[in-house]
Amino acid sequence: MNNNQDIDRLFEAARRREADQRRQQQLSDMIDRLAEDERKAESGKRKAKGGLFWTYAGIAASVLLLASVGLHILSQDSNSPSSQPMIAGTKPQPTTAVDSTAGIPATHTDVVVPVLKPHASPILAQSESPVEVQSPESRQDEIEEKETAIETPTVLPDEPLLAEETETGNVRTENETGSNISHPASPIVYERTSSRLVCGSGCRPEVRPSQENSPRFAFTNISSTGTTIGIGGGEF
Amino acid sequence: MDQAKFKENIIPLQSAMQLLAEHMLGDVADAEDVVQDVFVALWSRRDELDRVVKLDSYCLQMVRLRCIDLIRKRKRDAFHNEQIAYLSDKEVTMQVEETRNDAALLDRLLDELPEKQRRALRMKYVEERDTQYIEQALQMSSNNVYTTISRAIQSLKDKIKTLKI
Repeated sequence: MNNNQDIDRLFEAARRREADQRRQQQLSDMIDRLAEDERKAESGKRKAKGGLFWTYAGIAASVLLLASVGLHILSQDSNSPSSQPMIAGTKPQPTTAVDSTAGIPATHTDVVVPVLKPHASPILAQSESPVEVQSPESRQDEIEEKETAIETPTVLPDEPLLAEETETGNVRTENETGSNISHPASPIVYERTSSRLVCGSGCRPEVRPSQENSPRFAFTNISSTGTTIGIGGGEF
Repeated sequence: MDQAKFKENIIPLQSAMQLLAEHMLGDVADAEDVVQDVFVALWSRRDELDRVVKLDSYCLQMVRLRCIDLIRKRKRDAFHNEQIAYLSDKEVTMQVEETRNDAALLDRLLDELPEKQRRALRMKYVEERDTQYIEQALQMSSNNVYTTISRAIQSLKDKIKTLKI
């Protein structure tokens, strides 16, 4: 092999090396593109899976919502209009009632909304007895009793307590604790004995044992018509 | 095998694969196509490559099979099957190594030449530029380029003669 052939071989080798380097760079770029395409395809698959999951989740949630609404409607349809509501306080009561807070006699169109105690469960509230229908007399009694309880003096007089009643009928005496003591008498003069409460007609009102130890008492005399005829209090 | 490892271990085998394909197909462009197809196939099965003991033999065998398929597709099976120039893995490796050594020897010889002669020779015979490109790159007339290249070739011949001795 002469020198020219040697030189040609050397240059041929150099050319091949250059071509291989270019070709390897192209292949390396091709591998990068393939890897990038695979990554994009993978992320697309993941997004597609995620979208499918949320689609199914949305459908399931819609079905549950529709089912709950349907059950609610069915439960309401199964009850008669005058039946108790499922949850107390959610349905008006078509009864005559008393607005106990305002003290105003209610008409037939008035509605009483039962007030639930804190933490009271709806089931317990539902099991409560229906709203009581009160007569006008009893409503007046309640109102006057409430006023009496507010106006009861804290310092009781030492003198015998007097209470007169112009009409016949039982007189109800209410002591400090709110218990009622009834006796038929008119006019009524309360006298203090050792530990007994007596009235002028000689009637001895019944004093319950639990009240005997109470040194103080308060009472309200109310006629049979519901009129307050006397209030007072004292000490045994 | 991840991307970085693939580029580190497989890409350098391109020289041997290209040489083998050229040898079997007798065409540089067809050989480049075959090698590229083999690289795509290797990338698609890169998870299996970690279990391959001899990666170079594995890759060269893939090139051989692809070359045979291409030759059969050309409907020259009956003729070419008798004349396919098979190269063993060892022969391919030796030829690739020889090429690398020759290129490295040329680099050393060129480094001993003056800069203008070295650049003129590299542009003329390695990069295969035309004379006008070399004139503009070296800011020289065509006569000067011709003279410079002639002197550089003579210097190389002298150096090669010295090496043989």
